Amino acid sequence: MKVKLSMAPVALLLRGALHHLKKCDVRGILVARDVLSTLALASFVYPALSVSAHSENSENEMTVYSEEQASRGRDLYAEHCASCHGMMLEGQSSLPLSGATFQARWADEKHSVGDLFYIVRTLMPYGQPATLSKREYIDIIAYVLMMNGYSSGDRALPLDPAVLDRMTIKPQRP
Amino acid sequence: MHFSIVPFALLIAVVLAQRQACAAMGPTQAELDAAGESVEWLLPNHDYAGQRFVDLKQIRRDNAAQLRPICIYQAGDVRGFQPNPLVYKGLLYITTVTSTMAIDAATCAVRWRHDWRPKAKEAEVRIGGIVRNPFRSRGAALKDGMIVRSTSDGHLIALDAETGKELWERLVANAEKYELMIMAPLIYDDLVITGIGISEFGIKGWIGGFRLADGEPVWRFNTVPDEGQPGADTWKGAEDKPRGGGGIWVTPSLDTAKGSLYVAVGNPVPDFFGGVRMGKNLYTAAMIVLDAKSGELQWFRQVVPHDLHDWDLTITNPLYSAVIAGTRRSLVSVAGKDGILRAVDRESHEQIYEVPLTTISNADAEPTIEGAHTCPGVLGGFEWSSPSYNPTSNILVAPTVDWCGVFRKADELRYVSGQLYMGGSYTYDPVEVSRGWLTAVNASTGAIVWKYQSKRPMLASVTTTSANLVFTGELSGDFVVLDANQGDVLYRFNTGGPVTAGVITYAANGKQYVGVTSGATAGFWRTPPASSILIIFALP
Repeated sequence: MKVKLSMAPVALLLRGALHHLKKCDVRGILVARDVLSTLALASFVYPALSVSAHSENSENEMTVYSEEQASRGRDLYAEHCASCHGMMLEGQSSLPLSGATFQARWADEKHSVGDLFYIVRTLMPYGQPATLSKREYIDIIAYVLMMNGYSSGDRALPLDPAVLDRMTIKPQRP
Repeated sequence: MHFSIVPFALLIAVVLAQRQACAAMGPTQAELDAAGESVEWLLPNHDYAGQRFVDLKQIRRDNAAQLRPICIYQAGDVRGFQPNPLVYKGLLYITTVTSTMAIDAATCAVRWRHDWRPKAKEAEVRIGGIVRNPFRSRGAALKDGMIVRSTSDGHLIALDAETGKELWERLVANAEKYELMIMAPLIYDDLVITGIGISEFGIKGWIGGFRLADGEPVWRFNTVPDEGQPGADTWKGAEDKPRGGGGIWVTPSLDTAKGSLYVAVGNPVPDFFGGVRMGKNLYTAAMIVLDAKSGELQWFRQVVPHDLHDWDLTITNPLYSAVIAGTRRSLVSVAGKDGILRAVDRESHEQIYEVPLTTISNADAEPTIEGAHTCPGVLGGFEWSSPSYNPTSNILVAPTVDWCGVFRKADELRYVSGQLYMGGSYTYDPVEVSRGWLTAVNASTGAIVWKYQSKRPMLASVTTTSANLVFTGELSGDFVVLDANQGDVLYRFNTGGPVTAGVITYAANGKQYVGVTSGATAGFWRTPPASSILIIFALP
């Protein structure tokens, strides 16, 4: 069973923090600081969270995305999703995309990354559905998976539905 | 001779007790059949014909400006609130998502309140993450001292109308799978009639009759046929993709002379992806006429074959009779989210007229991947509130939504459990351009008599009286009174929350009152949060 190192999220959050500091205002800095502290803490427990159970069923692919993809996804998420779903996916006017809500809706072993990709790219952003490119949507999915504790790997999530449909979203075990 | 007084006293006591008990056990079927003449409100749309007309003249054009609120009842709920109240023997009944209450129709004093604790699983939904539990109660039904309603977890329950005590409960629908009995049920003879709604979760709609005594299922009519059933050959296409829809979410009307139910059936799903369901898709977006006692189909009229715009049929009332070209004919108003009011002859089944009561544009355009802008949008047109028929002036007064949008078809179709199954998406035009209409039409010809434009969609019930007044409400929160012949506003009061359902008038102790419900709506109407309240208005 491979355990992905916790450096990846730290690198990501540093990049994210810098991005925020460059772009904005005090609020951006505060957000970045919160992101920094939260993810710094998270990085210690990441090894446990980031274990994707290696499936007994050889037909199920590991749910994997690349760091670079998740980083692109983060920027896209900030622009198109965060105002409703929260930058930490905690939910604001819209439902959380992490934690128990995500686990209950998507990580029940009955839904694939392909299902998640389909719903998000056909129905979201709310009010302007299906207006981003497929590449942008899959990058956002990578970010959502990362924020839910799934490991990154060498490969980006592809656009090929045949591959995405084989990635069953597995529950996270603490 | 010496007679004992005791047996006579006993006899008198028994007779008195029996009369007392009988007085409590209403309304009877005879009273329900004659509800059109009642100055109370015995059925969701006042009578079985659904005319929403009351013969009360105390409130008139020349004194309507003097109306004022006399009491407010707060139901203590912030969830969706769309009941049609009932009034019988001085008690007014309303329902919220979980509670049922009886309040004094003249003073708002609470007589009793019943709270239902869900026992089975409820539905959970996010449409843009705003709606949580899509269930709302559109009201209850009364007969023989019982009040019957549906619950958010798929039960039908019956309570004692005088005390609120539970009489029976019966699990009849799977709420977790979005089989939601939103409509106010109808009671006729010994049956409670109700159906399930919200097509977009891949349900297959039905309407059924259940025994009034205990909720035992008696008959069921499936609106989307199974293989081999009549109409199944109107659904051709990919066998591996689920097809369904045909939800029913508005109370049917009933012709008591024929024992026929007139039922509005919702749209087919997947909404915007028609390729997997080629054909007319019976019996979606259609009026079906059923034998109320057996559920057998007598005839039907589909208004939108192979719908691709979520244009449910929602309205199959009022039933009324009118003179057309010198002959008196029995008619039914038929209308839905496509925004067109139709008059159909109940004997010959022919359509007499049709008239658009909202903006119609690009209606024949199918959804595309890039998006096709069409009016009406998915919100109508006509929603759950029907026209009112005013026999005094032979007009129908009808509320509609005027809000267009862009219909998109997805590049593939996928059913994902727990998510909307539409095969595409819909985007409204900005909320600032949404509006509504209240339109009066000549009931014989469909000619428009007057129009009132509202800043937001018109969703509230409409009630007319023999004083030629119209009582209704607006999404902005206003209760409004208009002149039925001219359409000018005579009185307006802001209730503080959207008025999207029951606005009724009735008499208690010989005085005329107007009851107005106000409360939260589903998120897609873009209204602020609100509390469920009932306000009663009267003249000084």
